[in-house]
Amino acid sequence: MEGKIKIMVLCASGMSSGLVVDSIIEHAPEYGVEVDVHCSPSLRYRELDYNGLDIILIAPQVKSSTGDIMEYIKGLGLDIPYMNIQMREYGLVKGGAILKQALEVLEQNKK
Amino acid sequence: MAERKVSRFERNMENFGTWVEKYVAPPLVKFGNQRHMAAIRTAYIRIIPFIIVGSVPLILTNLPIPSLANLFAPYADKLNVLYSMTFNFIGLWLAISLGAEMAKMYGLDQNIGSIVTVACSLIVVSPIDLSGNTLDCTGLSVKGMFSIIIVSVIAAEFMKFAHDKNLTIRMPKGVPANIATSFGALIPMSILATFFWAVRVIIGFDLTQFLNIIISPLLVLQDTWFGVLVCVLLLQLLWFVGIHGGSFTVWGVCYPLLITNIAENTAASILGQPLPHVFTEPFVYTWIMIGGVGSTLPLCLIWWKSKSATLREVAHLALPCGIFNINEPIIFGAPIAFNPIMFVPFMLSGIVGSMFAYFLTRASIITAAYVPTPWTTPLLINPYLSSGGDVHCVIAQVALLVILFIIYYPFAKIWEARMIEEEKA
Repeated sequence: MEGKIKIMVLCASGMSSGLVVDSIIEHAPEYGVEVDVHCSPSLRYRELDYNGLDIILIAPQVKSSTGDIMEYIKGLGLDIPYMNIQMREYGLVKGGAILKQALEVLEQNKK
Repeated sequence: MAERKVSRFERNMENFGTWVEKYVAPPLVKFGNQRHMAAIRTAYIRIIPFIIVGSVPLILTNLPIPSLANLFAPYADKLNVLYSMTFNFIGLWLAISLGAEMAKMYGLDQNIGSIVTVACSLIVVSPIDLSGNTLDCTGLSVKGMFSIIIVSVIAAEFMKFAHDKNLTIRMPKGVPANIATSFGALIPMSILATFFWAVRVIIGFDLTQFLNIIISPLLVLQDTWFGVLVCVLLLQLLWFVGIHGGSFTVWGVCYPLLITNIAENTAASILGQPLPHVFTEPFVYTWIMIGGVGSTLPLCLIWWKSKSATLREVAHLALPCGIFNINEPIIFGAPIAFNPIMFVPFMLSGIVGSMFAYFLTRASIITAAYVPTPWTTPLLINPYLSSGGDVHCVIAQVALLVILFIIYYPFAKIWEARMIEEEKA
C-alpha cells in the first residue's frame, strides 16, 4: 500500500467508534502503514462523503444496515470494499486486529 | 467454545436470539432506514441546539439554591421569552429543517424545499387572522409538529413529481440560467400553496385537529406503563442480538412522540400546571440506560478487579465512556450480546428501571423530566437537570443503581467463573 489508507468506521451515532479509531491509529505503525481514519454516524449514511475512501468498516451494532448502506454507496457509483467488525474485537477495542483484517480485505480486493 | 457443555437453557436462548434476529429486527431496521424516517431524524438533530438553549431559562429559574433562584426570579418573564422564541417555535424550525432535508433526499434545491415547506406549513397550522392581522403561533409549537411532518412529505413528494415530469415553465434559449431556475419552481410551488390553502381555508379542514384524533390515542398508549415496557423490551431485545436498538426504537419510531411529550411537559411547567407525561428521552437515559443500554455501569464495578483478564479490561474500558452513556465495550466485549447467561439480568435491568421510575413518577414522588438534556449527560446529573433540579430523582437513581447491582451480581459472577475457566484453557 502506498500513501495513507483512508478508512471510515461507521457506528450508529459516531460515538463508540471513536474508541476504535484511536486504537487503529495507535496500532498502525506496527503494520507499517499510514492511516487516515475517522468515524461517522451510520444513522446519517445518506449524508456522508465517501469519496476517496479505501475501505469502510462497519460496527457490529449497525451490521443489519450493511445492505442498505452499501447499496446506497454503490448507487453513488463508488466501488469501496467494506468489512464488518467482529463483535468481540469491537467491544475490546482491538484496533490492531481490526486493522489487520481490513488490510487483508484490501489485499484481496487488489487481486 | 465448542467443547463447552451447553445446557438446554442456553440452546433455547440461542434459538431465541436467532428468531429475534430473523423476524423482530428486520422490519424495525428497514423502518428506521426508510428515507423519510431518516430525513425526519436528521431534521430533528439539526434543531436540538434550540431545544437546549430554550431550556436554559427553565434551569436558571429552578436552581436548587434559593438565593440563586431568587436572583433570577425577577427576570423569569424575560427569560421565558428566550424559551418561547426558541424551543416553543420547534414546529417552525422543524419545517425549515425538514423542507431542506426532504429536498436533499431527492437531490432538489434545498432552499426552495425549505421555503415551500414553511409556507405550506404556515397555511396549515397557523393561517393568518386578517381581522387582527395576527398569526396564532401555537401551531408552530409542538402542537403542529405532526401536521408539519405530513406537509413536508407531501411537499417533497410533489416537488419531486414536478421535477421528474418536467412540470416547469421552460424559458427560451438565451435566458440566463439563474432566471430560468427561479421560474423553474414557480408552477409546483404555486400548486402546493394553492392546494394547502384550498384544503385549509376553503374546505376548512384542520389537519392538526384531525391528527390529534388519530395520534392522541398513540400518544396516550406509549405513555402508559405497558407502552413504556413494550418500547424497553424491543430496545433491549435488539441490543441482545447485537443491533443498535436505540436508533430503531427510541430514536426511530418513538422520537417524534418523545419530543412531543417533553415539549408538552415544558409548556406545562412554564404555566405552572401538572406535568402530563412520564415517558421522555431523558426518562430513557435516566432510568433505562444508566451508562448505556441495560444500565451496565454496576458491571464495571463488579468486574473492576476481576480475575478474568478480559472482564477486567472490559470494565476499565467501559467505565470512562459509560459515564457518558456509551457502553459498546461491555455489550460486545464482555459480551452481553448473544450471551444467554447475561440475558436475564440485562432484560430485567430495563424492566425494573423503567417500572420503578414510571410508578414513582405517577405517584408524584419524583418529578417527570421537563428539561430536555442531551443523551450523553452523565448519570446523577441527568436526573437532576432534566427534572428541573429535583433531588428526589437523584436519590431514586442511586437507589436504582443499588438494585441493579444486586440483580447483576450473581449472573456477573457466573459469567466471570466461565471466563476464568476459558482463559485458563
